[in-house]
Amino acid sequence: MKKDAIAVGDSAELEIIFSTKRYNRTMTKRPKIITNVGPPDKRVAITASPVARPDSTYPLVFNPYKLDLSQFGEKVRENITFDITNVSDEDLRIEVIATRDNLWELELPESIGAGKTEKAMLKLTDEGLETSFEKSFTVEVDDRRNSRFTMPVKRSIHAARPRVVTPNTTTNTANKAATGNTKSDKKGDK
Amino acid sequence: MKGSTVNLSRHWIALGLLVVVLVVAGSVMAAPRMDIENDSFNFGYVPQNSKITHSFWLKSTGDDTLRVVRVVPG
Repeated sequence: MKKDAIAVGDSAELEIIFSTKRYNRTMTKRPKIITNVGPPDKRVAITASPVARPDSTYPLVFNPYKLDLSQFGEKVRENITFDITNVSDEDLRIEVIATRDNLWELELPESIGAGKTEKAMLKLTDEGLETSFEKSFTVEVDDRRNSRFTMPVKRSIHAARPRVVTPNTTTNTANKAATGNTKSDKKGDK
Repeated sequence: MKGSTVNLSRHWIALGLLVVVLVVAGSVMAAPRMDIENDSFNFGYVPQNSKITHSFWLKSTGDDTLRVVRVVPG
């Protein structure tokens, strides 16, 4: 939680993180929120159906099924494309149920024909570009069960490794000082 | 004349006491309250070995500050 004291009339965001580990059945977690309101404490409920083979879900298949926008070095990674395949025999409409507008923008097809594959894209916002995070977004399709799919989105920023400079005997003193090679400088001073 | 002055003073004292009682009672009875608009969420299908998140919004609807002491995993 970003703040633990909420003034009268205000709202605060409570983010629940669920690690799916190797669970392979539908499960519900009910975290308890303890406040100064007193008992009975309120609970929220989250339900998820972890799948061992996310490349064979129904009626949609996402490829890749995890989005990783991690950045190594200075080359900025600001978007990622992915495929959504409708493996059912009916056209399906897709609706975004939950997302993170502050971190990314989603470009999803409104509908996918039966047996068709469409491209989708997630583009990081300025805030998303500057932060490391592990979040997710959820979509729902209009099949009989109103099936939902949640895609994990990860970004970690790894700084570029400092360039290794090997000592060069022909280099002048100013350059050696810049690479921190003080040993040879001392020799030179003598 | 003197009697009416005493009566008037008593009235003011009684009124003052009433105000004090009301203020104290008001502060004692002020209570925090929490409402959660959508208190459940279904992620649907998710890949194994991944972290997913959902945000719930807690609203302070009482007449005193709401304090979240802690959240216990369920």
